[in-house]
Amino acid sequence: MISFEHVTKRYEVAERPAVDDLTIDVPDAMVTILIGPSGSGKSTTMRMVNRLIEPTSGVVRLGGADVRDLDVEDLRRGIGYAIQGVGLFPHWTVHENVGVVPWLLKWPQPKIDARVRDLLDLVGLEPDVYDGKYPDELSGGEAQRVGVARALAADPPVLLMDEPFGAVDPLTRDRLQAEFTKIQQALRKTVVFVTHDIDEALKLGDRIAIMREGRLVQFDKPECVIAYPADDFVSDFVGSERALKRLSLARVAGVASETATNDWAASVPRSATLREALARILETGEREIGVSDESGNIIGSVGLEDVFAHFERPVE
Amino acid sequence: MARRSGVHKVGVAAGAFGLLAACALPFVVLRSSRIDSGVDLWVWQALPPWAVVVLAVPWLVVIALSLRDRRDRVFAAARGLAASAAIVVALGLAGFAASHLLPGAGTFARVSVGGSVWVMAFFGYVVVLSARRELEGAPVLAWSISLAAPVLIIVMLVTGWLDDLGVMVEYENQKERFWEQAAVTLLVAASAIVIAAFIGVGLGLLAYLRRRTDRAIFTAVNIFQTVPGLAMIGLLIGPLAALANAVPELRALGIGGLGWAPLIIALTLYALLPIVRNSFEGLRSVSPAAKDAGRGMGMSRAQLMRRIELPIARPVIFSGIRTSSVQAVGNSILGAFLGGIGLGFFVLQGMSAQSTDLILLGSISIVIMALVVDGVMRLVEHVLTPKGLRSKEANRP
Amino acid sequence: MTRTWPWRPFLAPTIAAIVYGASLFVPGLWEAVLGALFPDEVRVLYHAPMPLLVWQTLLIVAASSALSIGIGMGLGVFVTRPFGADFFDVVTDLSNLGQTFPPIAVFTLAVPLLGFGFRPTVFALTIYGVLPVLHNTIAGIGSVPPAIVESARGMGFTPGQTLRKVELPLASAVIIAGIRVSVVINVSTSTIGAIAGAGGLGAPIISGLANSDPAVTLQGALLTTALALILDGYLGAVQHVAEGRSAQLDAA
Repeated sequence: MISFEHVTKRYEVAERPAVDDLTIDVPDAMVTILIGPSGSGKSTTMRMVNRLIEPTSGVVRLGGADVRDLDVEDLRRGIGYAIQGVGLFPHWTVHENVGVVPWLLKWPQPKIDARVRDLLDLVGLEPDVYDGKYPDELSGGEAQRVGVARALAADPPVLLMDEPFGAVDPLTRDRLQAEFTKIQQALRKTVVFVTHDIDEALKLGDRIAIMREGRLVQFDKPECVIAYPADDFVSDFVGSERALKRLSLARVAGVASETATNDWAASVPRSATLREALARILETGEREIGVSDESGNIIGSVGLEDVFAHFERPVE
Repeated sequence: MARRSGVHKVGVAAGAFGLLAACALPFVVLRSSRIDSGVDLWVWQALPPWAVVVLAVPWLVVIALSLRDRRDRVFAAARGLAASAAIVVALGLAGFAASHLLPGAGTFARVSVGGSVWVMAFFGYVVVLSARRELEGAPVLAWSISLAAPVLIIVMLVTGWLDDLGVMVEYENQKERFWEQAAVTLLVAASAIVIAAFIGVGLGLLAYLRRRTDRAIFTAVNIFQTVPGLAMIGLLIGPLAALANAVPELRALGIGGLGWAPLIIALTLYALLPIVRNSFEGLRSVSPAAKDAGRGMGMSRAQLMRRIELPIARPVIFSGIRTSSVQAVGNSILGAFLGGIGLGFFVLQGMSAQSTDLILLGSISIVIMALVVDGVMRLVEHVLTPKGLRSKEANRP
Repeated sequence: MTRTWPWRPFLAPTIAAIVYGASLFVPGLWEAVLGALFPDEVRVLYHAPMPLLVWQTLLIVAASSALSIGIGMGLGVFVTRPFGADFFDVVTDLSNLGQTFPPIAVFTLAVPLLGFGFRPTVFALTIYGVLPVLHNTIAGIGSVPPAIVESARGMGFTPGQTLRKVELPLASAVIIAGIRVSVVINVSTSTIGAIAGAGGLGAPIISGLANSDPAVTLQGALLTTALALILDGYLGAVQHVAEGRSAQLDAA
C-alpha cells in the first residue's frame, strides 16, 4: 500500500541527506517498525507519507498513487496520525479531540458522537467518564490512549505512529503496547510505527526497518533481525541479549508436543513465550513441564530440548 | 512557607505604621478657600477625644491579633476585617471632622483629607492583602475581606457622610461636567483600545507567521513605549495640524492639532506593545505537538489558526488588551493638555490652581476607573478562557 | 581573567548623547530648524535656555531613579532574606498590583499629598519608580538556582557574601532591566511634573500647548523624546552586557 522509491530528503544546512535513496515496500495490514538512533531519518521517512515533509527526490506512493498528486489535506485526513507528545488540543474535550478528523471530513454530528464512544471503548476508556474531560485532566497513559483513538477516528486504512507510547512510564507503556497489539489484531491496519526502543519494535512489529544515517540497513521480520543481523551495527543495536529476545518472540504453543501424561511438576499457559517457559523450567529443576490451555487443562508439554531446538531451526 | 517567627510580622508592622501615621502626619487640612495652602490639623486637633479612640481601636485590634503568628483562617479573616475597619473609620472620621470644622470656617472654606488618612489606608490595605493570601483556600472569605472596605466606602459616599470633604465639594460643584468628562475618558480609551487591538493582534500575527519581521515590529512598538507621553502629543500635533490644513474635510471631522485625534493616536501607540507582545507570545505558547497533530490530521493552515492556535492564544492576547486598557485609561490624563479632554481636565485645572482637591477628584476617579476596567476585563478574560486552559490561568500576570 | 569592558553596545547611545548635548549649545541651531519648520510663528523657542531645562529634567530623573533603585533593591533584598521572608507575599502582591496602575495616575494622585515643586515631584515619581525595580529584584534573585546558593553556603560564604558575590551578580541582568523600565517611566512622568512646578523639559511642551505655540511644543517634545531614547539606549546596553555576563556565570 505504501512504497518508497529512491526517496531522498536533503536539507540545505546539513551535509548528508536526512534520508538517503530509500526504497522500501511497506506491507499491507501489518505493523512496520522504523527504528534507528536519533538522526537516522526514521521520523522524516514517516512524515513523508502524509507530506508533512516533502522528499527532495524519489516518489512516495500510497495505494499506487504518488502522494504529491493527492490533495494534501484529503491525504492527511485519510491517514491516522499519532505522535509522541500526543498533541491533544488543550482547549477541546476528549470528545472533540477524538472527533476532529470526522469533523474535518464533515461527518454528521450523531455519527461522530457514536464513533467517538466506540473508539473510547476500544482504547479502554469508559466513554461516560472520559468524554467530557479536558486533556489537562488526563494522566499520561490516558492521554496516549486518546491520541490512539483520535488517530483511528475516521477508520483510516493507514496509521502513522511516531513513538506514540514514548512519554509514559514503563509499566503503562507495557499495557498500552499489549492493548495496541489486541486492537491491531482486530483492525488489521497498515501501520508505520517509529520508535527507538528495540524491545518495543520486537514486541509490536511484523516487519522491522532498521535505519542509520538516512539509509535502510535491514528490513526483515523481527526474528530474522535477531537471528541474522545484517551487520555489526544491527547486532549492536539489537543488543547482547539477542538469544533471550529471540525466545521472547516465540510462543509455547508453537513448540509444545502432545503427551499422554498430565502429571507435571509445573505448567505454563500455551500463550506464554519460550522465554517464560525456560524460566519456569529452570525454576522447577525439571527437564520438561506441562502446557495448559486457557481454561487450565493440560494439553501437552514443553522441554529444554524444545527450547534448544528453536535456536537450531532455521528461520524461514 | 518560610520560618515562623513568634509574631505575625506583617500585621504588627503594618499596625504600628498605621498608628504612627495617625500621630505623625496631619489628619485633615483646613483651607480658607480652595487655593489657600491651609492649616494642618492633627488628629487630636481635628477630632474629639472619643473619636481619637475610635480611630485607634481597629489598629490596636490588628496588632493584638498579630501578636501570635496563628495562621488559621479565623485569625486571618479577623485581621483583614479589622484592617478594613481601620480604613473605613479613618476616612469616615475625616468626613466627620470636615462636617464639624466647616461651619465655623467661612463660606469658601475647604477641608482636605490629610496624609495620615492616606498612609493609614495604605497600611490597612497591606494587612488586607496579606490576609487574602492566607485565605487562598477560602475564596468567599477572601472576597468578603477585600470587598468590605470598598463597599462601606461606597455606602458612606451614597449616604452623604463624606460630602463635606473638599473632594466631594468639588465634585458637587461640577457634577455634570464630571460625568461628562468621565464618559469622554471611557470613550477615548475604548476607541484607542479597539484600534490598537486590531493593529496589535495583526502585528503579533505577522511577527508569528513571518519570523523575520518580529525584530522590526518589536523595535518599533518598543520605541513608541519609550517616547514620553507628553512628548508624544507634542510630536503629533504638528503633523496633524498640517494634515487638517491640507485636507479641510478632516478638519470638519474634528481632526486637528488639538482635540481627540492626537489623544487617541497617542493612546493607541502606547497600547500596542502589550497587545503585540501577548499575541506573539500567546501564539508561540501553542505546543508544537498540537500543531503537528493538527497538520498531520489534515487541517488547513487557516483551520489550524482559527480552531487551534487562536483559541489557545486568546486568553493571553486578551490579557494584553486588558493591560493596555488600564494604561489607556490612565494615560487619558494627557487629554487635559489637548483642550481639557477627559477627567485629566480636573487634574490640570487643579494643578494650575494648586487646588489639591480638584487634582484628587480627577486622579482618584481615573484610578477607580482603571481598577474597574481591570476587574471587568479580568472577568471577561475568565469567560473567554476555554475550560481546558483554566488551570493555567492563575499563572498569567 | 581580565575582561575588557565591551564598548560596542555603548557606541550608538554615546554618539547620540554627544550630538544631543552639542546641539543644545550651538547658538541659533534650534531656532533655525524650528523657524524653518514653522515660518509663520513669531516665537519658536521657550524662554528658558535649553541646557537648563535638560539639566532640570536630568536632576529630577536622577534623584527619583536613585531613590527608586535604592528603595526597590533594598526592599527586594529584604524580602528574599530569611528575616524578611514574612513580608515576601505581601510585597510581591503590592508590586504586582501597583504596576497595573498607570504611572501618570499614580503621579497625579501623589502630588496633592506631597505638594508642589522640585522635591515633592521627585518623591511622587519615586512612588511608582520603585515598583519595576522591586519586581525585578525579587524575580532576579528568585531566578538564581537554589543549588548555586546552596553550594556557595556550603563553601563557607557568609550570607552577605552569598548575596554580593553570587545572588546579585546572577540577578543583575534582570534587575537592570527593571531599572531601565523605571528610569524611562521617570523621564516620561517627570514631564507632567512641569505643571507641578518642577520645571524641566515638560515646561516648553505644556507652555506651547497652552499658548498655541506649536514650535515651542515641538522643541520640548523633541528634546524629551531624544533624552528618553538615549537613556533607554544606555541602559539597554548595560543590560545587554549584564546579560552576557550572567550567561557566562551561569555556564561556569
